[in-house]
Amino acid sequence: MKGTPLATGLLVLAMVLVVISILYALGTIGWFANSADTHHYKHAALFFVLAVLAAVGANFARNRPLAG
Amino acid sequence: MTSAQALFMGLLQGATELFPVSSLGHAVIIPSLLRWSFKQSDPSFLPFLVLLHLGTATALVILYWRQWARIVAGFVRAALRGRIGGEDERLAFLLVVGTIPAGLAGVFFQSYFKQLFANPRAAAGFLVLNGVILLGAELLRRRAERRDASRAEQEAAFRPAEALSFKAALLVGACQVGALFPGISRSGATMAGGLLAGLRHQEAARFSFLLATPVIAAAGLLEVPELFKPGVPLGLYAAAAVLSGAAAYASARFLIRWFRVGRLDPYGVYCVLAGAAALALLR
Repeated sequence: MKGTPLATGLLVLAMVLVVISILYALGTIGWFANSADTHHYKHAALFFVLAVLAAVGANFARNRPLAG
Repeated sequence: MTSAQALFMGLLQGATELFPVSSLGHAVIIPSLLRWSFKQSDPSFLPFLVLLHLGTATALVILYWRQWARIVAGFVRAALRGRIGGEDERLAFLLVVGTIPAGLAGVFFQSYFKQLFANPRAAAGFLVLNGVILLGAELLRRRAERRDASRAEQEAAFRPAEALSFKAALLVGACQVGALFPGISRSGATMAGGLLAGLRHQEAARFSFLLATPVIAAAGLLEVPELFKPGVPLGLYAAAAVLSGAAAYASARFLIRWFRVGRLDPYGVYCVLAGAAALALLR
């Protein structure tokens, strides 16, 4: 079934994670990161990977038949 | 760090990374026992560790390159299709699910835990705990085995890695978080978790090595810029990394053969004894 709420939610989550990834890479945010670094590439890479996985999850949810 | 020390540390890292005895614990304890002056927690040590990790990860990719090719292709296929088909695709997603806890914990908490526990006495204490975990996992496993069967028959009654549930893969992967404590072995924790999840010993070892590869590789690759800072003796570190990779390759091959019918017990006993001896010597 296309456009399930779960798929939409995961897609929105993926986009939010991409934005967080970019903000970490630019050094705009530094939550839980080493304050000595100006760019937090490790955190950026992690959030980018999580964004990809959320997008993959959205694709899985899109193809899942609705229960009942 | 002298050349001989660097090469020794490379060999030690490669040999102990995949054996369930904690490479980080050994790397913290042994230099202290030998009264070597460098410290793992020193920032100048980071480029060295980066190359050693890349050496180990390369060895694991070479050892399992056919499987990795199938796993990567399986991931892409299933991701695009939006549905998991064959065994390779299932294994790919089991590894993804199992890698998430270690990835999150590694990025957010590794520095904190390293600073907190990277002293030789704490590492020796955790090494004893690692031994207890290995022996405990084997004790629980024996309860689930048929007593009247041969070792090969006992092993055959358990499952391959591809038959894990996603929840079990997440829990086995979460065991890798224990490796943030110097002295707790990444492979030991995941093998123990795999055994408790009903995997054959050999399959628990294979799943552990496959799980470790992206984490070790990422830990190395994300720190590559450290290699290009001034004053880093790249040639020496690269030689140590080659030794580390060769030792990791040999130890992985040995362990895969060992776990056909072998158990974690000898490694558990070693960790308890070595940890206790280090605690006594490091007073």
